Amino acid sequence: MLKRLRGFSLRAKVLFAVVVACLLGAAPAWSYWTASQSVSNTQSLKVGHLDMTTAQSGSVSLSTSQLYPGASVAQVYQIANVGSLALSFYANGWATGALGSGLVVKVTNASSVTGSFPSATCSGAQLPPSATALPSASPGALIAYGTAAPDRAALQPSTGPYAGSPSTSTICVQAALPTSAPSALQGQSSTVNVQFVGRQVAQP
Amino acid sequence: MSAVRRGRMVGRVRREQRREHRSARAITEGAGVFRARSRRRSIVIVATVLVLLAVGAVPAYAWWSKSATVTNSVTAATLQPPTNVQCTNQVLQNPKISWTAPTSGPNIGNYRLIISGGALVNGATLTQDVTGATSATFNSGLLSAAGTYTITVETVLYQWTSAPSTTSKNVTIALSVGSLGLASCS
Repeated sequence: MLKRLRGFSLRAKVLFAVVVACLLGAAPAWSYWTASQSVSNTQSLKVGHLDMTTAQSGSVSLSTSQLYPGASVAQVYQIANVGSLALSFYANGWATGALGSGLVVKVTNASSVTGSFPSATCSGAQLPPSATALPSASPGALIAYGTAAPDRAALQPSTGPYAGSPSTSTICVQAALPTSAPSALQGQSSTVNVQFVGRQVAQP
Repeated sequence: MSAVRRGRMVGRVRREQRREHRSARAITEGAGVFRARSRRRSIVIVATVLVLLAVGAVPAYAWWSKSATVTNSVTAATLQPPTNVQCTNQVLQNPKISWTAPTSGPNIGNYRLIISGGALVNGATLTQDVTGATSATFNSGLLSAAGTYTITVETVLYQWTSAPSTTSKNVTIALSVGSLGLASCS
């Protein structure tokens, strides 16, 4: 075989060698890095509906008595999760009417009103953000809890596969006229609006 | 061919060569300008996209929400004035002014006597506060001049005051020297 190649030119010999090398399996060389990780946690998907009610609805009279300097009225609101998914809520407040600007508000999570008019009060510590005055227009000011998910008050559904506790919560709103209230507020009125906003728990 | 004709021919050929040269250079410059504009446009587009991504690119998300609003009405009271204002002369002292407390509206028992007329001009008034009582001895020391003064009474609750009583009484000071004026009902 080699003797037969002697008669060929150098170029033909080189070409022959390349062809033989290719035929014998000269595959292109390559390599790569690899890594793998097993994931053990699982993601759950809950399907249901989001709903919330208040024990009071529509228009409520804070008190049948009329406010005057040094007097206070209070009202407890019960919020219930009547849906099938967990939610968390916060509350806004605003007061329309001439009397609204003179009101001093205190919001706690008391479940009942302490005392009676003219000294009806909400016991307990004032809920953040500790608002004491209400703006005159919607959407008002934040009066209970916060709008961010970690700051809201959680409510679990009372029935269904995701039922939990607590499924209800109470908010006590106290409105008072300070002794420094101007005489011009006599005979004036106000509509105090309390808006509860519930959002799904997984929302930021 | 004469030398003259050959010279003209050479001149024409050179002019045509210069024209072609200028034309070619114009085309090259035009292409350069076009390329420069195109590059600037690309830079502006890329920069705009980068700025939008850096400043305004927020993650999009949505959530379910439910709200409920409760409205509450609240009304402020109106102070009612006292009624039945009376003036009673007393021996060796100024007269006693008395009145009847209002039967409606808030009241913590504080009142104010409003003194007007007499030597008080241009609607000027003087006041005498009374705490926790429905009568008071008229304080003539407030006045420095003789005259007949009209007294009405208001209900007072902190900063709030009622309208003046609808009834009033007159008190006359015949002679006043400093705080020694002696008054009597009139």
